[in-house]
Parts: sequence; structure tokens; C-alpha cells
Amino acid sequence: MSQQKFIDSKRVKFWIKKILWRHIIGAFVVSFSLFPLVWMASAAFDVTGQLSTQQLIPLHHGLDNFVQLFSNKEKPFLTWARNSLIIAFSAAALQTAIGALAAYSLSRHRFKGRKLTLTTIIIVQMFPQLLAATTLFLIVNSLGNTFPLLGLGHQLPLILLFGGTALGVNTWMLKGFFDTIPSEIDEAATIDGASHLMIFTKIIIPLAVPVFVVISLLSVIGILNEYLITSVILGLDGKNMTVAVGLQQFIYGQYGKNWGPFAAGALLATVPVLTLFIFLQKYLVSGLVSGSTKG
Amino acid sequence: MRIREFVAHKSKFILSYSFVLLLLIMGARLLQDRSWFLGIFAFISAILIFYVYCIARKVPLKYLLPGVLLLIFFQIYPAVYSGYVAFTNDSNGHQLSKTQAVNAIIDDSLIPVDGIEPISYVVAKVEATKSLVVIFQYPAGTYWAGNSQLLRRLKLSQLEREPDGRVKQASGYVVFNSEQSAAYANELQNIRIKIDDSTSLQPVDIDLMEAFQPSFKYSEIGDILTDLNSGQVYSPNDNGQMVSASGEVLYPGWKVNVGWRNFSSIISDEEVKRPLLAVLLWTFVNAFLVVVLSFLMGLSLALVFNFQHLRSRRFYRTIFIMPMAIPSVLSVLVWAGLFGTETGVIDRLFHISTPWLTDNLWARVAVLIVELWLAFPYMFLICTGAIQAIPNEILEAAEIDGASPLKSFRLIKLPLVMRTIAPLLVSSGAMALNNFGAIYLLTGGGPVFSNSNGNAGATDILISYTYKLAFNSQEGNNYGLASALSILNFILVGAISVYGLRKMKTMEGVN
Amino acid sequence: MKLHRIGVGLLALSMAFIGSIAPAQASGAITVWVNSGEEAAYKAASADWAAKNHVTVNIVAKCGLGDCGLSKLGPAGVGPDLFTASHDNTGSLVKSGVVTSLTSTINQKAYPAAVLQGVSFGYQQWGVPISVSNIALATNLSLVPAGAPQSWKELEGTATSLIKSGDASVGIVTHLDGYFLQPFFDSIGGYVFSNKNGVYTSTKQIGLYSKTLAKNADLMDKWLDEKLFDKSNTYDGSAFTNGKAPYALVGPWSIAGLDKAGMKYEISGIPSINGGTARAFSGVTAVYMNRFSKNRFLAKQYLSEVVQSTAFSKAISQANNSYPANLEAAAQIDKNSVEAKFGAYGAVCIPMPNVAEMGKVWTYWNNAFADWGTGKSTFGAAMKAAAKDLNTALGNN
Repeated sequence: MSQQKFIDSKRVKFWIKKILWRHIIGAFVVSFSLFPLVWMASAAFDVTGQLSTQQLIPLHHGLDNFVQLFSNKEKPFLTWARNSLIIAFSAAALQTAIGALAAYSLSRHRFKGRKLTLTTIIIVQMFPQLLAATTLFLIVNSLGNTFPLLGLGHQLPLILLFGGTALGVNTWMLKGFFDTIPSEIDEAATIDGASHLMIFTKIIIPLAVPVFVVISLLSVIGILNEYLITSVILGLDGKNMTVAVGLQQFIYGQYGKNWGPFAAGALLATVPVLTLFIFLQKYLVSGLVSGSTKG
Repeated sequence: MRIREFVAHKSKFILSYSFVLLLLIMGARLLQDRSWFLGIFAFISAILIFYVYCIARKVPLKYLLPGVLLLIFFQIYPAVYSGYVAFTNDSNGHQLSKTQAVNAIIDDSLIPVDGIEPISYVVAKVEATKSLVVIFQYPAGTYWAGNSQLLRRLKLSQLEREPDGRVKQASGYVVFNSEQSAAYANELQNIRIKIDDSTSLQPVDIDLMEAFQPSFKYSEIGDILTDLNSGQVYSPNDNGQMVSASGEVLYPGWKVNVGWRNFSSIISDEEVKRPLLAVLLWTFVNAFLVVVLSFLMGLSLALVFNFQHLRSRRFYRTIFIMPMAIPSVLSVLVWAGLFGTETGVIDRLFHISTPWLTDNLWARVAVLIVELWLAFPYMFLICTGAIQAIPNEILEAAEIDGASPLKSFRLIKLPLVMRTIAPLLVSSGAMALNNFGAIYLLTGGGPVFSNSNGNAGATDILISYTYKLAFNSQEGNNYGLASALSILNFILVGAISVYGLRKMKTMEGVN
Repeated sequence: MKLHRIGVGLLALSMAFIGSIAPAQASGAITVWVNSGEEAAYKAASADWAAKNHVTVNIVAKCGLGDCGLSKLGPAGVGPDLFTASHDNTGSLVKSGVVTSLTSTINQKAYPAAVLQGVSFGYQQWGVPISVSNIALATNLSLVPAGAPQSWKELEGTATSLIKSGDASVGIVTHLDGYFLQPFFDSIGGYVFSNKNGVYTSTKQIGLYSKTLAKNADLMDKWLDEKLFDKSNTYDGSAFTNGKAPYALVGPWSIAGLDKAGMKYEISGIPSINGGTARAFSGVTAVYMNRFSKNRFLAKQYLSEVVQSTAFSKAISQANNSYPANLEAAAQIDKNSVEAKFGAYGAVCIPMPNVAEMGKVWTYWNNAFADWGTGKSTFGAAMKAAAKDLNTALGNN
């Protein structure tokens, strides 16, 4: 009996000494992490639509903002969501594919200029694309004069444009991961008569699925976040916008900000990405680290 | 069956050949539409693809080419173009070519001539030369065919007229009906017919001309514009403007090469230079603080929550990485709303009245808080991964050897973690130097420095300052200067990254 | 190998696709860039004309980037034919050379002189006015049953006594910047550029620290102390709707919010300390023509027959929450409506300067307001410094 008690008190002591303070820190960081998310949710259900005067539990709550969000014909949220999904997933696929191809070559082949290529691609991506916005606008505009599908207001040029940023940090991460796959495997396969393409598709790709997941996820998020070049290429026509560009229209203007529908839309946009993240988080830790260990 | 096998076997070639063909067709169409650069790029790409995949069989290049082509087209070309712009005076008021600018000055000075009623005209083409002319009568009874270059008197015998005097046919000319004429609207609107020294007729509609009098006259001899009312003479200066002897400038100007002037103005122009030092300083301080603080936070959290007896560590980890998962465009805007330009949620929550976003220091703190919020989950993740990757035996061995937890952290964990993380810190730093989004959406760079010609503010980093010069300036966009600054920015960030990469290489001997 | 077959198939498809589409033809069509969110109103208001004349009117929302590359697209021959802009951009648009004069297209009798003044620059008029907007004073009728103040004394008296009694936390809810405080600035004798009856005479003469203003500057400090205005870092936009402030400066865009809060209010002009009305800035939304448009005839026809029509001015004003610029359209508005109250005050307002120099003014001027509003500096000192910096920046001395 007393032994039981002794164990219990030992446990409690251990809990207080080793666990409690972790929970206290945890609570602080959790509230920091979730702070904007909570207010976003609160504002989404607050019908007054004024973030600055917001109470945590809104005084006047209701679904007004969601109704407003879905019934606005000039700001069609569902269309934006569809556009965002199409662009983000196709561009992320393109980026991952291009990055994987390049990373394979940079990891497995020894050729002149390999190190230079590695350095160059990472440096080039540091040139601020912001300033190139006008140039890109003009390029896409004149492409569109000949091929309307590649012109302003279409998704294809934007997807290709994101493909142009594929060679960069992601390539490094992929290369880092490929480097960890022992080259003995390739060599054995080569002896068995496999071509470099077969090694790539049959051996490397299946092994690298976790890191592909991470890279694609990061790409999707990066693309969803891009709004400047996106708004320049797609224009601000209601039906062409993405969620990131479109939602900003609600709080555009210095004095007439409409936080309600913005928050509602932001909440709706956040939920699927968040879910994806939670499901894939076990890949994230391993993928991010394995990709970087031998950068 | 055989065909299928053949296709399967040769599909690589079919793929490359059809891609080459596609690019060739696109190139031809682009050249046809006079998009020279794009057309030539398509042809060069086609040749490269053909060479790499069908002739040379360069294995590494086969894997690199798709990315490289897109990289050149969408990244390097615009960057090079920015490089070119940096050497011009490309800015509001200097967008046109010289001819366009001079014509614009003259056109803007046109005043309708009172005495002359609108004149109706018909559109025709000269049979011999196919050039477009308008046929009109001025004064009544006298017929002319003319355009900007020529003016011919027509004999009455040449003409077949409607009862109201409108020309129906003219020998030597193909006269169009009004529907046909509409197709030439674009050419018609640019026709100016000089009928005497100061008066010209100009189509104002598809069948009507009016008489206008310009206040300026351009003469190619001497390259001067003369004000016809005052006699004042304007001649071009080296900044692409027409200027009088007394310094009066006519607008618009035109685009010229200005050499290194944009770069030298960064150093010499007070209005540019004054804010630049503060902006540069904050660019580095901000990047440094963000990386260091988020790394420290990420590392400590990783150490604290990578504790086996903590059953809820998975829960914590999930919550901690949530900032990464919320699209940052949206979350930063929410933060901006929470800080509020006036009384925000944060102030009311903590019962404080802090001038977030309006006071230089507090705005910087706000920026750091948000950037930390954005960055720590990533650091937490990679630190967690790096710690988990440390083989348990090493730590156990240390424990057996009697190393205190602090010592084992300092001597074993930290070096091993740093080995993994250092390259990522370099790239995070480089990214923080260019972290436009957070700053632009949160504070817009503000609060503005009162003596900075309005573009730079306390939280501006070089890239956001540059952006504002180029696109958002209240006093006209200055692409030339912005391009020069972006090159400077690129060199700075690039140099630091190269240095970081070098450092990293010596650390672990890159293979 | 399967992958390749899919690739070949995709490629063939995309080739067929690109090959089959001919470039769009531009004849019989005009393109108009409008503010994002107003597309539907423009489309509806242009539909009849487009159908009748067999013309396509492409209404396109502007991009989010400065002038959307217009200054570059225009000369390249690929910009829109027409675009909307607020009149204070006129000067910089003209100086850029991207717009063309519309003097002969504009029906001079259809618009008030002040509105035409707004779209004039140099010898010419450059934009066809559609709507006018300005801020005005809103009075909370449950706090101030007497209604809108007739004089400055009445306003100040009402506000200070309500604050003293604790019924109000602030007198006038307003942002502390140049645009919102212009009427008070005007009232105490300040001005941006010298002007006579609303017509600007010189950009060389800056009145941020005019003699009269220098004399009256303490008033602004006093008003801030009296809590007539709230310090800008404690601003609470909801004070008015929550019944904690008798007055607020509001724009037409605020009305929906006031109605939603279910409050009773009255819209009026802002009284001046010298008696009469203090002048806020009025802004004109106008349609400008791209100098390099390939369809100028058609675009001009559209301007004459559609944009200048009473119905159009009325429809667009309704859509963008402002007052019609067209006199006939304005006359049709119910005199007792909120719009009419805004319009009535707007008629005595001063057009916002439309010269390119205004950009710098905003910067220095707003900064001065911010310094004063956050208590860093007295009003006089802030304006004195701003005037000095501005004169240097504009090269006036």
C-alpha cells in the first residue's frame, strides 16, 4: 500500500519536475501559434466585420460573412478556390518534376560545371522577381497575342512561370536526399543493364517519395501565397483571381476594410492546407532534415 | 503489336521530335506576329532540345534542360532586362520614344480652329500606290485627296458625286463605303493633313474631320520645338526632355540611356541616399534577428518537447507548425488587423496602448513578432529532425561518462545539430534579406521617414523600398532607379549567400 | 515507358490546341479598365449601347500593380482603350504622355465647373467625369437630438460637454491624416497650393504653414487635448456606431456600416471656425483615353453616347457609393437622401489638387499629421517642418 503511494508520489514529483514546466511553455507557445488563427475564426463569425473592435467571442455572431462570401458574384470565392487549386497543384507538380530531374543529375552525374550549376541556381533565385513583374507582364502579354492560352488572364503561363523557379532551394534539398541513397544500388542496377532513366524512375523515385511529398507541399504553400506576380499575370477580373489575391480585395482601400468576409474566406482557405499539413507532418520532419543533412 | 512495341521503344525520340516541332511552329507563329525575342527564344530552345536529346545525348543535360530553359525565360531574362533598365531613365514621364514624345507634346497643344466647320470625308486608296487617303472638299467646291504625307487636288472631271456633293467614285482611287472604312479606323485616327502653316485637319470620326491649330512646331533641322505663340525654343537635354533656355521643361519626355547615373544617384542624391542607410541597416538587422531568434526559439522548443515521457509531444508539435500551414498572405494580413493602425485587438487584450505600426521602434518590434511567428515552426521542425537524427548511443555514452545534460548539449547535441542546420540558416538568412511579403503586407514599410521623399519607412528593407520606388511611389514610378537598387540588392544578398555556401563547404567538404 | 506514351499524347493534344486558335481580332471592340469590383455595373450600363452598335465592350478589372504597366503597354500598342482613374492622377498621367485630350469630346454644360476643373491640366481636359465623392460630417442623432451643427461653436460646445458628462469618449471620430482633416485645416487657414475659389493658381506657393495657420495652429492642439479628436494611436472606429461619439467624419463608403449598426444619423457639411462651411477635398472618378488606343473613334463614341449619359453617371455612382458628376443625374437624386447630403456638401468642397507634385505633398503632410496625432510634436511645429521639407523637395526655394 505504502509502496503504491511511494510510486505515486515519485510519479507526481517526476511529473512536476520534468513535465509540468514543459506544459507551461507549451501553453504559451500554443497560444502564440494559434493567436491569429483564433482571431481569424472569431472575425469570420462576427457579423460586424470590424477586426479592430473584435471581441474573442463575437457579440453578434452568425454566418453572415460566409453568406456574403458565397453570394458575391463579383468576388466568386469558389471560383478562386478552384483557380488556386489548379494553379498550385499543377505548378507544384511541375516544380517537383523539374527539381527532381535536375537533382538526380546533380547528385549522380559528374560533369564539368556541376558545382557552378549548383551555386548558380541558388544565386539566380535570389534576384528579386518582384521587379521583373513588369517585364513578365510584357512577355506574357505578347505571348498571348499569338497564343491566347499563354496570355494574360490564363493559368498556363503562370504555371510555367512557377516552373521557372523550380531550380533553386528545392533542387538542393532533393539533391541532398538523393545523395543519401547509396550509389551502390545504381551501380548494381547498371550492371544488370538498367539505363539511367530506369534507375531514376524505378529506384530513385520510389525511395524519394517522402521527400517529394515535403517538397510538393512546400511548393503548394509557396504558390498559394504568391499574390504579386499572380495578380499581374491573371489580372483582377473576378473570375480569374486566386484566393490569395481575391480575398485581399475585401480589405483593399485605406478606409473601407471589410474584415468579415475576408476572415471567413481565410478560414476556409486555411482549413484544407492545415489538414494536409497535419496528415503529412511525419514526412515533414524526416523530409526536411534528410534533404538538408548533406546539402 | 509490332507498332506498339515500336512506339514504346522509340517514344523518347517521338517525344523529343514532337516537342522540337511544337517549338518550331510556335517560333514561326511568334515571328509572324513580330514578337522577335519570343520567336527567337522558341527557335533556340528547339535547337537546344534537338541537340541534347537527339544528337549529343548529353545525359546530365537531358535532366537539367527543362528547368534551365524555364529558368532562362522566366528568371534570367527578366533579370537581365532589369539590368538594362538600370542604365536608362525609365520612369513616369520617360516611357515613350522620342518621336512619340514630340508628337504627344504637339497633339496636347492642339486647339480647335474656330472659323472652320467640321468637314466630312470619304476613305479611299490610291490605285497605284495603295496608300490610304481621305477625300474631302475644302473650301466648298474644291476637292482634295490627302494623308499625313501627301495632299493632291482632284479635278472635278475625275469625280462622280452624290447629289449632296459627297464623292462616290474617283478615277485613280478606290473609294470605300462607310462599312469598309471602319476597318481603317486605326490608321485614320493618326492622319494629320496640313492645309497651311499652322492649321491641320484631323479625322475625329469615321467620316468627319476638324481643323486644329497646334501651339508647337517641331523642326528636324536643329532638333527643336518652337512655341508658336511665344516664339520660345525648346531643345532636348540629356535626360530625354525638351527644355527651354530658361529651364522650362515640356512633358512628356522620352526614354534615354543615362549610363551610371542611377547608380551614382544612390550615393549622391540626397533624397535617395538619406533613407538608404537606415533601410540597409534595418535590412541586415531584421534578417539577422529573425534568423537568430527563430533559430533559438526553434531549437529550445525542439529540446524541450523532444522528451519521451511527454505524452502530448505530438499534439504540441502539430500545433507549433500550424503557422507554416496558414497561407502567410492571409495570416500576415490578419496580424496587421490585430495590431491595427489605431487601437487593435492586441492593445485591448493586454490593456496597453502601444503605437504598433505608427512608431518606428514598435513597428519594428511588430514586424519581428510576425516574422518570428512565421519562421519558428520551420526552425522547430528542422531542429527536431536534427536532434532525432543524433544516434542514441552517443548520448547514452555521454551520460555514462557522467556528462551533465548541459555539457552533453553543448559538446554533442549542438555541434551535431549545427552541422545539419547551418546551411539552412544561410538560406533562411538570404530569404529573410528578401522577405518582402511580411513587411509589405504588415506595415507597408511604414511608418514613413518624414525626410525620405515619402518612399522609405522605418520597417522598409531594401527590396520593399525598391518595390515602392518602382510601382507604388506617390510621385511617379522610377523603374530605372529601382532596377539599379535591385541589382545592388542582388549583389549584396548573392555575396552573402556565396560566402555562406563557401563557409559551409569548408565545414563539411561538399561532395 | 507508359509515361512516355502519355507524354506523346499530351503533346499532340497541345499542338492541336495551339495550332487551332487564331489570335483574337480587335475590330468592333473596345476595352475599358475599371476598378476591381465595379465591373458588373459598367457591363450593365454599357450593354444596350454595345448591342445596338454591334460592338463588344470589354470591361476588365485593373491589375494590382501601380498603373498596371499602362505607361509601358500604351506605347507598345497593347493597353486598353479607356480606363478609369481618380482625377488627382490627371497631372501625372498627362506628364507620362499616356492619355489623350478629351476637351472636344466632353459636353461642357453637363458638369459643374469644379468637376471639370479637376480633370483639367494645362490647356486641355483629360477625363470624362462620372462621379464625385467627398467626406462629410455625420451626427449621431441619439446623442445630439438637435441634429447637425450649424456652427463650429455649436459643434465644439456639444462635443466638449458630452465628453465632460462622460456620455462621449471623443468628439469627432476621424482618421488623423490630410485627407480627413483637410476641412479643419482649411478652416484655420491652411492650404496645400494657393487657390482662388477652388481654382489652384500655383504649385510654387505652399500653405501648409501659412500665416493664418501659424496664428491658429494652437487650436488643433487644443482640440486634441479637449478630445475633440482622438490621438491617432488610440483611435476607435466603432466609437461612433457604439454611441460614444457625437460626430464622425465619414465617406459614402461608411454608410452601409452605419445603417447596419442600426443608428440614426444626419449627414452635413463641416462648419468652419470663421462661420460658413469648411471645405473638404472632393475627388472625381473619370474615364481617360489611352493615347495609343487603336479604336479612338469608337472609344470617343462610347464616351459621348454612354459615359456622358445621365443614366450611366447615375448607375456607376450608385455602384461605387458616390455622387453623380453629371448635373442632370445629380438633379434626379432625392434631395433628402444621404447621397444628396454628401453631394450638397461636395458642391462647396475644393477639388483635390491633380498635379503630379501632390504625391510629395501627401507624404510630408500626412507625416506632419501623424507626428502631431501621436503627440510627437505640436501642430504648428509639425506643419512648419513639413512646409520646409516640402518646399525643398519640390525645389521651390
